[in-house]
Amino acid sequence: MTGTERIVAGLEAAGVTLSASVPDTWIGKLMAAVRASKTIRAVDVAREEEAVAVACGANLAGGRGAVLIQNAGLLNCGGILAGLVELYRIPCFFIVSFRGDGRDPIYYHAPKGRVTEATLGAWRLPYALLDRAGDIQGQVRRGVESAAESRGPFVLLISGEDLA
Amino acid sequence: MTGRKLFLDALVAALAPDDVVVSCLGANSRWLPHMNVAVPVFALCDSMSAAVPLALGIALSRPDRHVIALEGDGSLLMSPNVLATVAAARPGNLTVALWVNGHYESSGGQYLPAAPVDWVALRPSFANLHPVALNIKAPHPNAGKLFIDFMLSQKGQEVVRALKRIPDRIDTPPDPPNLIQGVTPAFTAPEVYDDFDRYIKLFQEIFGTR
Repeated sequence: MTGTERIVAGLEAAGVTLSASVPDTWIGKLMAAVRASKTIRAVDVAREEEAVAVACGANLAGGRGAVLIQNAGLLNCGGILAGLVELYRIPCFFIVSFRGDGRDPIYYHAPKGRVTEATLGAWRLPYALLDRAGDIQGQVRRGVESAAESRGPFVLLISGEDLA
Repeated sequence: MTGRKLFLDALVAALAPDDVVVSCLGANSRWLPHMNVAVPVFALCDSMSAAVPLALGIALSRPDRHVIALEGDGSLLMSPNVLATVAAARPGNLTVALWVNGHYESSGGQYLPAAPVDWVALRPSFANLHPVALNIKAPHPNAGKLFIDFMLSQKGQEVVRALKRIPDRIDTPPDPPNLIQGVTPAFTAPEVYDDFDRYIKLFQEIFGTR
């Protein structure tokens, strides 16, 4: 199985029913696999804040929503994280492509890479970096469950090489 | 009593048991928690522009419920992109009611940016395809023609209605009649049937059916 397939299997195993996304190159590959899932409804949105609200709506309605976006999009989401996810304590699981860290070959992502973990810390968002050598499916499942149990956000950062 | 409260009273009175209401921040959310509403209400007090996508997530997850999003023009102007998202998701069970007053009412009534932005509601449309045809090799073609005549008659359409379908004749209202209330019927040109497969494909592309 590829990393992409393991991630989607993890989402399925965790009972995710809806996945809302704005793609980048990496998230686009992941969403292509999500579209093939029989149990997850893929929802294309125009901005990342919408993805958060759509996933929260799924969670309020008894489903399980996930948000698949780039870190640039996560940086857009400060307001809705505070005003919707945290305020109403709605579970919200994120898979975020960690552009601009040491593993990203494209120079122009670097500024986002520099502020991503600092922003996650400032916003007090629980997060983890996907360990591709470990049990990918399990890490995804635990992330979804962590969001559900804590009734709040959880962010799993992934890199392009994790999808191979 | 403000005009807003009058509208909310009318909305609440018209709610059906399977409705769900999601309200934008501010003015509506100040009223709704104090009203006696018999259906689930999620009245956002913050999160400007989240009402419509939140309602979309609920609508997609609960196709058995009808979700009504109440949104303001200031909120929607902040993220009009959500309209494209909703159009792409094609929820058949989401209604958006938009308040247009040109003000950020909940923050003190400041004006929206003064560009002449307007919001236009599309006329409700309703697609009802019930093709009927006579097989070219039908053993009893005249009996078939008589049957088609019957199916197209008022009496025949009453049979269709009894089968819980929306009849195709305007003199045969559906049950309940409000299923097509406010909808202007549009009739297909007979030439459409010369290239029926193409139109079926187009219909499926536009409405996302299979």
